[in-house]
Amino acid sequence: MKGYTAYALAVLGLWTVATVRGWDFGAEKRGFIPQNVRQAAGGYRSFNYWRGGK
Amino acid sequence: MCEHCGTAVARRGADLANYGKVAALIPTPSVLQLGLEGDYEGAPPFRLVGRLQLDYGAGTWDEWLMAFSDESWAWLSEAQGRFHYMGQAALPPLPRFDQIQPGQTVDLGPPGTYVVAEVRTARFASARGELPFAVAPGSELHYADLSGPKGELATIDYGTGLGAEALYVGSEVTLDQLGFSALPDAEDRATRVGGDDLKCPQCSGPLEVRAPDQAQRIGCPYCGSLLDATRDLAVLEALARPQLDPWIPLGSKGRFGESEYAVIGVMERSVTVEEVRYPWTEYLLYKPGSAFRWLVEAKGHWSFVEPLAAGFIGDRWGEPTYEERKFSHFQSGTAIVDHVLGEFYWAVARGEQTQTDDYVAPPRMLSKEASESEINWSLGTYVEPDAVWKAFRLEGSPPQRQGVGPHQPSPFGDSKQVFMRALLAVAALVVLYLGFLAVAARTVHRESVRVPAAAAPGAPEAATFAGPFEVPADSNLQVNVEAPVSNSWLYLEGALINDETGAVDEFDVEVSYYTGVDSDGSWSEGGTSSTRYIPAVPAGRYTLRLAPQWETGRAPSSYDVTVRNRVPRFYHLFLAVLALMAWPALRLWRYFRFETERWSESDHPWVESSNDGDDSEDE
Repeated sequence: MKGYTAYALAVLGLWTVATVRGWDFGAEKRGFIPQNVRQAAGGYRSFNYWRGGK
Repeated sequence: MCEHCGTAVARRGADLANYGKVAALIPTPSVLQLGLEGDYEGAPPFRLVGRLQLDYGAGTWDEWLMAFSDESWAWLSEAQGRFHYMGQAALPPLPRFDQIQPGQTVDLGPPGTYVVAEVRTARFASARGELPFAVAPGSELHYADLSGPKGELATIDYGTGLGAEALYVGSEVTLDQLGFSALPDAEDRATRVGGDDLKCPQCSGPLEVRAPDQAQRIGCPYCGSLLDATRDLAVLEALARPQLDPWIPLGSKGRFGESEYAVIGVMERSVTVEEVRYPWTEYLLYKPGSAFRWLVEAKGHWSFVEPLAAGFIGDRWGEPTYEERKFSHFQSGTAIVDHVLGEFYWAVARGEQTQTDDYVAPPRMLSKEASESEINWSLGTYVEPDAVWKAFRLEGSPPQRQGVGPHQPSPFGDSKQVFMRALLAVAALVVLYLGFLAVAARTVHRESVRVPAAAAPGAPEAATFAGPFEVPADSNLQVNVEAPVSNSWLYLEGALINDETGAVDEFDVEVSYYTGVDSDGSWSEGGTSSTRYIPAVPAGRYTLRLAPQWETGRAPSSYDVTVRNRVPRFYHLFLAVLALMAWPALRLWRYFRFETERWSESDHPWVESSNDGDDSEDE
């Protein structure tokens, strides 16, 4: 009984932390766009292009 | 009874009637004697003025007549080292002797409703002193013993006829309660009932009699002969050496609770069900001045058994209760005595049969043993084998347990409580989920995005941007897209870009909605909104890049994007519920396996065995 209580508290705790932090299964690897690409004018996927396309 | 010539005389007015000679008293080493004075529970002082010995065929007991100073009287019954005070009660209408039977309930009037435990005829064996009735020695007296609701006892005295002549009601008492003035002290009493060294008349083997005041029968441990302990060890049955090798030797002493008991007798009994014999071993435990107890072993499972008055047994939906707990019927059968060793307080005989009914409520078992003339209830409590070995300081290990004992406590017995706790945990989880949904989840951005009319679907020029917006804390993001599509679709390649670090999370969303009518009627598929989640997004400033594609010629003019953070996932809730229920489910499964095995050898198996199925197929 005590064992289950500890287990249930652990499950509830894990669920709460996962929900607060936004953890999920199978999350895709996060990519990065280098700063020079973002700031290069006119290039597809450059940050300035995206901003200008709005 | 004339103390000089042993003649029974009865007073008839002023005359005395001669009833003939009375046999000598059967030697029972009672600590009581005529003339003893006592004081019982504030009643007037009394004196023992008469002693009556009755023989019911399988044993003898003493009835002592207590004469109180106010000229009233009562009986003090002495059997197997136990004493019962039985006072006279008003005689209500009672069933005749030939109409009363064991198990029947009888309304005794003010004392209450009692259960008939025993209906017998006893022979007036011997007597001394004064008796309150005129019965010739050797007469047969009819009586019924009854058990009341709180351990009270009653005896209906039918005398030599069939109609009730007297009613006695009382309870078990101790010698200390009776306040005798001149009893031998405890040490003397122990000496009086101590062991006598005797020899078996059949094989001359030494017999150590440990309860000479109680023994009716002795099974010789050397030659197996059954001896009558009340008639100078007359051989009742000469047998081959018994095929009984008890785990606990005769004479062993063991402590259970506060009491130390000696094993004075061992018997093997069995029931046979569908040609399969199920034996068990019973160890008779003796403690001077106390009721006998039993230690019962079957297939390595042990039980400490105490006698129980029928009046303690209740009834709920046809099954017995004891101390408010219902017991479930386990098995019924005809138990047969197969082997006996040592001493027994009744006239046991090999082949003796009784009808048994066992009811279980682990760790306890109620057993009813019924014959034509009596019903006996006993309460067994499961004892761990190691505890038996420890109590008797036995060497080696106890026999391996086979299967599950009828009243063996289940290690999964608290499964229902665990299950209830799991339901509570699930309820707490649902409350947390709804709380997150209502309080923690926040909309961080909402925007209506125009689809460039001139761009081709999927072309870089069609890409648009939403934001920037702030994500206030590390959390997940929910991106919801709502588009006015009808029998068309909108597909978005999305990227969540952290303006400060350049980190990109890519995702896609498709919104499609189709409706129509066919031979089955109207139908629809999809919807006008769709949602994606981006996990573990660090706090920061973000922009959404959205590159739309659409069915050529059916581009929606715009679509709405809503971004929320810290949104609880429903499937996480589902997984957590699974995790919370997995433990009790596994435990419940093991509980059912354990119980299935327990009940497999009962009259009510939970699952029919495969053998049963095979048998029926063979037939």
